[in-house]
Amino acid sequence: MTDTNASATDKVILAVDDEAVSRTLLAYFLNKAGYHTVTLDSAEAARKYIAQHGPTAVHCVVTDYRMPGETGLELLIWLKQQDRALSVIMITATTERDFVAETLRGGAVDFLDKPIAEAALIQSVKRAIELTIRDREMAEAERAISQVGQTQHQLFGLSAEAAKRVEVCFHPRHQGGGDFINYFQLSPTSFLVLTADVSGHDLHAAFVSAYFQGLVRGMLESGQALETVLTKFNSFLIDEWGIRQGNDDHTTTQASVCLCTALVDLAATSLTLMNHGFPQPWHVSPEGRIVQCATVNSHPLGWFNELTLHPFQQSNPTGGRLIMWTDGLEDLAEALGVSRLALATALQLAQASGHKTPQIAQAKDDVLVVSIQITPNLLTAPQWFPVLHEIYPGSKTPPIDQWQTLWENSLSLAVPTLPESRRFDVILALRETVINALAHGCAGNPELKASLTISVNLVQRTLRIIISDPGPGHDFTRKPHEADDELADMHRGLSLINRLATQITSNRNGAEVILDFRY
Amino acid sequence: MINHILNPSDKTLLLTIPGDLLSTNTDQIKKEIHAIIESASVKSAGWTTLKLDLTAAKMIDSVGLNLVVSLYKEAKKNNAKTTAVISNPNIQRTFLFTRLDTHIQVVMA
Repeated sequence: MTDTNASATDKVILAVDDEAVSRTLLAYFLNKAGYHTVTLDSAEAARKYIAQHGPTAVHCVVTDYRMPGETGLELLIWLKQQDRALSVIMITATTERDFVAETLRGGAVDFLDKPIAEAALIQSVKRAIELTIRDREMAEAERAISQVGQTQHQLFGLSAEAAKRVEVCFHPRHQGGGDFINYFQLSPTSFLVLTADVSGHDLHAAFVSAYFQGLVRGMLESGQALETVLTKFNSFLIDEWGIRQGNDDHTTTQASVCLCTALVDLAATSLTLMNHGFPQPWHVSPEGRIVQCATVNSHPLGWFNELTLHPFQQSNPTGGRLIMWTDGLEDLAEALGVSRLALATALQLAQASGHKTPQIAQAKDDVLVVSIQITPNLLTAPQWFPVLHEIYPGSKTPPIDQWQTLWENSLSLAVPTLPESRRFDVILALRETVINALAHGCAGNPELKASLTISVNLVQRTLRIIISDPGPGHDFTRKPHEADDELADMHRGLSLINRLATQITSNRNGAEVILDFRY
Repeated sequence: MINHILNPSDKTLLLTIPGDLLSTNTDQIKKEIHAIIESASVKSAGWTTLKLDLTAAKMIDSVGLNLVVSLYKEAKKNNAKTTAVISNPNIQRTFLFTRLDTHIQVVMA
């Protein structure tokens, strides 16, 4: 780090003025104050000096505004292109005050009136040098963070083996940061995916991230259990990098890590998840069913000395995919008024097609979406992509208009190819079935809940809606027009649903209904 | 707010619905329409056509359709025919799906 209090003789000042008297006066004042002063008679001469010695050889430029050839403003603009941190002081006559605003806009840090007053000059030059030093240090730090960030992003590059199973969609918002994913092939039939978000968006977060990834890889390769690795890193965050303030109760840490691990054993058909402060992962079945994995969400690593591990084990998973994301996606989904699943799907599909989702520009944090194939045989039927999963309380008069906005926004984002007329059919059928489930299936009782999921299969061009309630069931098999009862007040909603959907399947006597919409 | 116009020359009662007809707003609309139909001036007019202007609607759900059916039945009691004027092809399909177009004349604006 540069010492801003180092002696003035270390600092080089360029004094640029076409008038010899002014140059002599400037050099006299500056040399007297201890600065090393280089006097030049034109902007062109200043350019030549900078080109020869480099912009960082100079700490401040004091230049006259009005000079034959290039003006001081033109020199200022050129200097800023060479080194935006280099401070420039503009000297103007009182009649040139109109140009002051222009020179300030161009990046001058100060301006001085002619004739030059010694005290004002020295004070201004001192401040300009401090600014140059500070801005150069900041630029250097930005470069370092950017470099670490780039290295960190390269870590997302997965091996060919991992790429068969794991899709990563990463939209960094900051130059440095701590979001990362690691894939570990533990045996020919088992693998571990570790997804994490280190707090902060600075160099420190990037270092914590890089250190943790190295630690995990090293310990796993030496045969340590994942639980041991996490416990070790938790202790490390608190004991090595924490800032102690007297006792454990008041220990704060410089970094915490939210993470989710997924251990997939294809031979044993088991899936084990561990969640530490990470958004809950989702499972999408090969049939398009969407379920939030019921992991016990423990606290992030780096918070408390005691680390409680809650492995969530699911035997015989039916294949399909796990989807997880960092909290940056949740914030963005809320800002956009769309479901998180719809946003995750939109980002993944856009990446697969080589496009960028324009909405990502509104993200305020890094967004990382990870999709993991847990189907033993990768050559399976086309996949379902999740669009929405909601749980609604029973009600006779649910706020369906409000929910409709979320459905419409989510469908538009995740399934932009759905024709407008088909979107109308889907929304109308959703209104009818959801009201039916809440008013009849849940008997209007808010203690009872109905679930709604929407998924899309892009290959089959089919949208699948699954609505489930705890009630005794409904007769969704009612055929439209089977009787000349179109003027009856009953069952108009069921008739509509039958006509709108391509196919209806019901389970549990109709308490769960699956509506497929081809498009 | 439901607007209505009685046209004495062709004995038409025009009811203009300001937007969608959905489960969330149909009760209120139904009350307003019945207040109009039951008003003395409309009752004594002897209208023979009920024209529903639904051009502002983008969606009509089953509860909204129930209201349309009840108005059709009300008109039929008075020996009047019912016409629905719509502007949205999706709503035209809704009338078609529920076969209400076989009872009510549906006109695209």
